[in-house]
Amino acid sequence: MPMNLRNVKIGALWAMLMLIMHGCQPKSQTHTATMESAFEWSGPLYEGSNPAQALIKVDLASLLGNPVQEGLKITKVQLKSAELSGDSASDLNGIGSLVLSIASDDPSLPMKELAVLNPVISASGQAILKPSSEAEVSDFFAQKAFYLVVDAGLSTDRDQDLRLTGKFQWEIHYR
Amino acid sequence: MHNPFNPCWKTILLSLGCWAVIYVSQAQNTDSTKQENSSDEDFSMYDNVGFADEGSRRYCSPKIEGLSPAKLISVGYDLQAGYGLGAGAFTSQDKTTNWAQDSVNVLNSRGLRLGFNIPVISRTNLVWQMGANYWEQRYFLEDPDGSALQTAHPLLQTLSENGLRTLGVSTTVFKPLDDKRFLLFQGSADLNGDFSPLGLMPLKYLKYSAALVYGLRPNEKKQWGLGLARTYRVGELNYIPVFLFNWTDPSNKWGTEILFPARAHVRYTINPRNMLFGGFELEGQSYRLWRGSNLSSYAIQGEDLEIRRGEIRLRALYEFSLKDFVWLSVQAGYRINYRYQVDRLVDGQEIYRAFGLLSDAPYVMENRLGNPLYFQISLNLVSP
Amino acid sequence: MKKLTLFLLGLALCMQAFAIMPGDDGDRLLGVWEPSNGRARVKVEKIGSKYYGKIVWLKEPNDPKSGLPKTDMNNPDANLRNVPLKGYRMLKDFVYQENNQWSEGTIYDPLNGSTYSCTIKMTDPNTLDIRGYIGVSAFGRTDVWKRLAVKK
Repeated sequence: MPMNLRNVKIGALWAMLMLIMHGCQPKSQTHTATMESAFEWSGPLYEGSNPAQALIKVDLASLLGNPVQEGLKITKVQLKSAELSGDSASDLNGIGSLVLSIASDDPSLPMKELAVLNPVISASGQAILKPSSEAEVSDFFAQKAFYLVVDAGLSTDRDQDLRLTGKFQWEIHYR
Repeated sequence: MHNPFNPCWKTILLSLGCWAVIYVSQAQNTDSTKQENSSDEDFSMYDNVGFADEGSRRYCSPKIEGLSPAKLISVGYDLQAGYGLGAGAFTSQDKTTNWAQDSVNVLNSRGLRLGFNIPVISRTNLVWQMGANYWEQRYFLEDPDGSALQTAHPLLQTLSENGLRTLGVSTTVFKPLDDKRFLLFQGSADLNGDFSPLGLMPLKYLKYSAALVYGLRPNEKKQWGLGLARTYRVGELNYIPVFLFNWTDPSNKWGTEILFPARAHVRYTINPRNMLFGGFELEGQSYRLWRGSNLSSYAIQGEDLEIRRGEIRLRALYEFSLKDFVWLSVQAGYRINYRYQVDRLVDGQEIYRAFGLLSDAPYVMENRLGNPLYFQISLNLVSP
Repeated sequence: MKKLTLFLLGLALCMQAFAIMPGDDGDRLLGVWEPSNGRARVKVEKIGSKYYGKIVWLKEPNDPKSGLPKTDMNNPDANLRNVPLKGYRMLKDFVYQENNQWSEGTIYDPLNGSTYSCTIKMTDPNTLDIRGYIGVSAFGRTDVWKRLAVKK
């Protein structure tokens, strides 16, 4: 067989192999998961930043709404929306800023800020935070659990306890 | 019967009691964010605090807010565009040989500039850095009519064949005296000459420079000082006063970075990762003609000659962060030749003229250089 | 002899109590600290098993141009530039090692939005060596922080 034709055939075989391998890889899928969590501060609270945290156990089946297939890999997770609301409309009174962060006990996972609302306009009793466009947190979702931390910046001292419910939407890419 | 007040039982009970007290008093929550309600959490009290260790002192920082970042490692290239070079008439020491004046075109002169400055001690009450630098300048010469260089002048021959190099070590010490006053010392030792990159000169030809400044840092945006320097920046040895003035305006947009007369710049901060500068810097050293020319029949290296080179660079600079702590610095400007005369320094013994006040010994060769545009680019690793 | 034995037993119990004392050596980092420039005060707290330091006081708390409280305006992420500086966690993710050291953390400089690798060494109960560096520790700077206490 002439050398040129042989090389072309070998090249074509490699190309087909690459195509097959790429095609056989599971396609990337996206799912928007909603999560709710409560954050509590025990009064009296003082002017300035006051943190509260929630330990979130990662349950992929419930997040994805499907039983988890073996070999499933989360490739990217970003926060799409974050809303914090009090039991009553006046709960947000006196809160000047809200910052949401994610943290882990794993030494290789640094804490990341996820969303902020500053200033907080409390008339509606709901605070819709602006999520970071860059924070990617798939590594946290690969852990068994992670912490969500809400820093409430109070503009005045407050005697009563504070309880806020957080509703978070995560865009989860997986394959 | 056991009497609870028997001395034996007393000892046992006492020991158990100690243990219990220690246990209870040391019990702590592992998560302090859940305990935000105790009385010492009043943030307003952070106005009314002092050092737990009452003997502690505050010291001023070597930096002010808004200053351009210090360079730890710098790799750069300097290029000067074309200009004329007139080498002066010269007579050998033994008076047997004469060379007439000769003029050439410098197509360009250019070379690598490497710098390295590492903190050795970096603490609140003392900062000590050591550095090293290597600069080279190669000359690309041609005859005035544009033809290939043909010259018998020994200066032009060695410049064309070897170029000039500087290899130096430096040290900087910043010692704050309290939260407002400080001392700043810079010293360096340089070998300058037409030596090859791999062949050095004897250390007796080292040139020593130093500056000592006493300064004040009244607030976060201003730092100034006065001092004295021993310097070769205009080519010859001189002792001159120096004035330090670093300042940033309240909006953090404008500022100055001045160590006069060595350099002075006005700074405009687009943002903390992008800065523009306009100003000048004095450069210069005394370069020994150590190697001479291989092609010349005359051993100029035996003449104990040194080029007293000094120049003023007027320039605009743009420094910006490529990624995190890797910055690019780009500058363009106009190089004004201040001095390029040649002295004979027998065995390296200095001639100290003090701008003509202490000596008016003539130069053995008087040269003229044109003033070109120049361009420089460097990649830098900057300090926190 | 009996008394001596009992006394030594009691002493041994006390010493054992010190050895198995509950509480974490790493928690000695908790408290309020001041960097050498005196421009901020930082409170160290614990989230999970790691230590974080947030700014609780600023010498110049307001932006001179707007008069409003300073925010993290140099943050490379534009959506996070509204995070207030007072309350900002500039020390993050420190894990207690042995020998009075905390590492694996970072320190953030709000003046230029840069984050550096960082280690903390407690040289005495009221003094910390905070070393921020790039890549290797040699390319860094140590700042000495002092513990603060409320004035009586």
